[in-house]
Amino acid sequence: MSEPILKIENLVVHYETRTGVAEAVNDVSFEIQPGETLGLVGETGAGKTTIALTIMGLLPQPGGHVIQGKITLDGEEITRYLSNSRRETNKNDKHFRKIRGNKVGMIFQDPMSALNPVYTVGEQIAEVIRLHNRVSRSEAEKRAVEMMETVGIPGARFNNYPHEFSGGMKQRIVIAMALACSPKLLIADEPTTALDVTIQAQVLELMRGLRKEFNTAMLMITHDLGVVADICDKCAVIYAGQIVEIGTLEHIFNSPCHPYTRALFDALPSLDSDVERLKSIEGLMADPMDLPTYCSFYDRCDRKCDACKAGDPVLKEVEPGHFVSCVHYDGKKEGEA
Amino acid sequence: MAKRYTPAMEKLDRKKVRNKSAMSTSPAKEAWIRLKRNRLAVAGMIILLLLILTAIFADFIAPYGIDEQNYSDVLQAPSLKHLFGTDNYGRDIFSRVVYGTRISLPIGFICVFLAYLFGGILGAIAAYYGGRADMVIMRILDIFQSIPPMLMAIAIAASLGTGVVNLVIAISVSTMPARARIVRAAILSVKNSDYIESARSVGASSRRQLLKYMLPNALGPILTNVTFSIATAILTVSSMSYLGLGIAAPTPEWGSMLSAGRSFIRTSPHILIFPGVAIMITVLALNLFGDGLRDALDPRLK
Amino acid sequence: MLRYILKRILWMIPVVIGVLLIVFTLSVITPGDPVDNMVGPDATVEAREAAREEMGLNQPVYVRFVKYVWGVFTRLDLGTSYSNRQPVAKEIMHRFPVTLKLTLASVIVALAIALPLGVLSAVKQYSWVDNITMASALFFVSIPQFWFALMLLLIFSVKLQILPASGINGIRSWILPVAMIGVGNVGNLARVTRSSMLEVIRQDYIRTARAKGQRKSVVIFKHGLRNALMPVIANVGNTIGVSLGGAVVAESIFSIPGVGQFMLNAINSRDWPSVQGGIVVLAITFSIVMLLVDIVYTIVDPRLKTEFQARAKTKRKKGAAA
Repeated sequence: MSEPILKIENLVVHYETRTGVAEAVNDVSFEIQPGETLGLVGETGAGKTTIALTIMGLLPQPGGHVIQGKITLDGEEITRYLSNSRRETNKNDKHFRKIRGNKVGMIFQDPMSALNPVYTVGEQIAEVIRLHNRVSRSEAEKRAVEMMETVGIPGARFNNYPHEFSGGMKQRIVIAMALACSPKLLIADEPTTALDVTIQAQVLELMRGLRKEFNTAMLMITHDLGVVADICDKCAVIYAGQIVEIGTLEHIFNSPCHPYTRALFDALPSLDSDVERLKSIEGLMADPMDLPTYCSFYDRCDRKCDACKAGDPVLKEVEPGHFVSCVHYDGKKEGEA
Repeated sequence: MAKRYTPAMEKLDRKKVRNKSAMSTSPAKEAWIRLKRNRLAVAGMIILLLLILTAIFADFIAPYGIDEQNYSDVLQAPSLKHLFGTDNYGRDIFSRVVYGTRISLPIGFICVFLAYLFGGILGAIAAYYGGRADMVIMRILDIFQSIPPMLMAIAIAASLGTGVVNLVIAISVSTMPARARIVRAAILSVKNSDYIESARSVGASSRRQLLKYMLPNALGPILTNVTFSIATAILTVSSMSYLGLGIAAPTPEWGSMLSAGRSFIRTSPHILIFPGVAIMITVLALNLFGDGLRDALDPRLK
Repeated sequence: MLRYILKRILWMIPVVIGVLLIVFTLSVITPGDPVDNMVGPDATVEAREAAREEMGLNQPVYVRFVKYVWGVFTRLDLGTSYSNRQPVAKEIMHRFPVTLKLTLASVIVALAIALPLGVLSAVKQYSWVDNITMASALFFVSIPQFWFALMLLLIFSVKLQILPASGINGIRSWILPVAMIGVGNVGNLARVTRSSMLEVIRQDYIRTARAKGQRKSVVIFKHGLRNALMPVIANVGNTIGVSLGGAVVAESIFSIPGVGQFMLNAINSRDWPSVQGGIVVLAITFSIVMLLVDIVYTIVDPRLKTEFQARAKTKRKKGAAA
């Protein structure tokens, strides 16, 4: 295997608030190969967006802290640029500024508010181009028009303002902005959640095409297994800040192991079987302010046993490239229970 | 259908909604708790309370009478005998400042009450009926507001003459359009919200709707504005009196006291200091309380 | 867009008529006979009637009003002063520049101080800079203007004797009046700027701009400030209104020969046409300023522009269909 574009090792991120410390990300490790798309699936508050913001060096301040772990982006360790003191902030921000928009492009959840209402969309795309390339204003504008055409928006609308576009079109513009500098990695944080279903499909289709065209690796953050099936090569299921299962698309979809992953699938409507009611997962996600010392999914698990309370489960390889963190899969793959 | 949720998330959301509705059974109580936690707002409240008590018990607090003149003690600097010194008639400034609370506070309240009463009626009609009524009322208010409030108050006071009643009329009328707008905006903001829809769908009559649903929900921003308005009214009362268009000389109104003391700026500046400090403390207390009220009623703003 | 501005300008006509009606009504309801102030109490009946005739006061009220409005619109004639029988417009016009300069200077100075402070406070929320700025802003909005002026006089003119106490000669004499009118505006505008900036820097597009690799300071000034300015611009109109009122008080305290002082003197001598004229001129000034603010607002906020274009388009379509 070649050098991964993104390698995250044992990442721990906490938010310090007035009421306590929220353990948002707990010991997360994964990697993304060039051109590969990893789906990161989990509920709201599971720590997905926090991981994305950590990679961008944009954790909410004050409050967000990387406690430990290493993030390597394109062979360069970026976690060392995370500032610990106020004095270093400016210097470190300079390193991150070279990464943001250049090596890593990011697409945010809500296209409605992601664009600045007082500048034209063209200006906003040209801004990122001029930031990372030594080009003239007119050259940047020319490239911005090209980017707009690439994402399916007529270049003639360069001088239009964001409010003159529909939600789907705005998201296309955000995508154009994220890809304008041909980043090695594209982070998409629930890019379709805020869109209508028909538009969702169009935007996903566009992203699939562009990923090939730009040969970009992608981190697709979503809570929608349908999106994962549509566009990802690998999939990581995250629960309460921990990866509970990770593997290829086949691994996760054909032989899901972790009870949480299974529950997610059980909660999906199925076309073949005539189920009266969908199964839902009972209870609430563990409070990140107050995580148990044992498996965080214990309270909601339908396979809980005494062994579960013994300690925090660790990721174990159940088949080549397929990892699960659950005591029931301690080293060996169980039968189709 | 804009969002696709996993059932687990939906459940989470439902739970959130339920918690919220359980808590919001008494938003007033909740706001009160937030208000009590805000130290500055509490400070403002305490100062206000002290001022009101001063006004009520002025006779016991003031060591001298309002008009008690003593020609042997003219223009005395502050001392133990006269805490804030004496003025050119030998009157005790401390006593006069204390009696001043009986004028500024009630007049401030009354001006705002009247402005809100008449402005509120206009604003409510405009917001509730909308359409042509709204347009006509708003255009008329536009015209009134094209004269800056202070100038309007000066013009009215100039026309009607000095005195407490005329001053109250001047300030109430000049601030009325702004209050009408606030009431209109507050009602409009709740008029189209979901709970009014649901009230309408169960067949609530229009007057009942207005009273039972709109008013309590529109009250938040109005309450905050009332506090700030009283502060402004007190400032205007004193400015007008200073200009000689408000409350005339023998009355211990803070502004007119400053106006009378103006000529002694070179010889006895202490006359000019304390009445001004009194105005500032009163206004400051109202502003502190208003800030706290705003944050408590709308916690999103912080 | 142009249609909107044109409409807005045309709207000035009813506004002016409305203002004239208000001040005229006030002059009618004022107690006492204006003739008393023109000829003195000892004048004969004939002299009184002659004065009444001369000022046109013997005509019915509505005729007087129509004549007044007509005079204002056709000849910029604001009437004749009761006390010196001079045209009011002339008296006011040579005093007006001082009042306007005083008002604008204080608003500009207030903006120049309040904007950076408000932005700094928002960016460094809860820091000591923020706390000090907001505490002083609260004091500034709570200080009675005229008292602040008296205190400034006391300190700078009486005690230190470094600034003149009255009149308007040279730059130094502007400092105290501008400070007095501006103090509340600084507090108010700083508070508005801060809260609007706080609102804006939480927006998603700020994060988007950061995610592009833009400098934090550039993000704040380029992407943040332009959006945060909207409520501030909306507030500038009101600020100017308040400052016009403040200028009247300032002119009285610092004996500045402006429209305000002229009006206050006229009030004391019960010279209504002069009072009326002063109010009308200042109200029209204010209306023009509000008009300019509205126009600036539509230029700065692209959303409004499109709204007007869309509205114009649908209207045209409707017209075509009919």
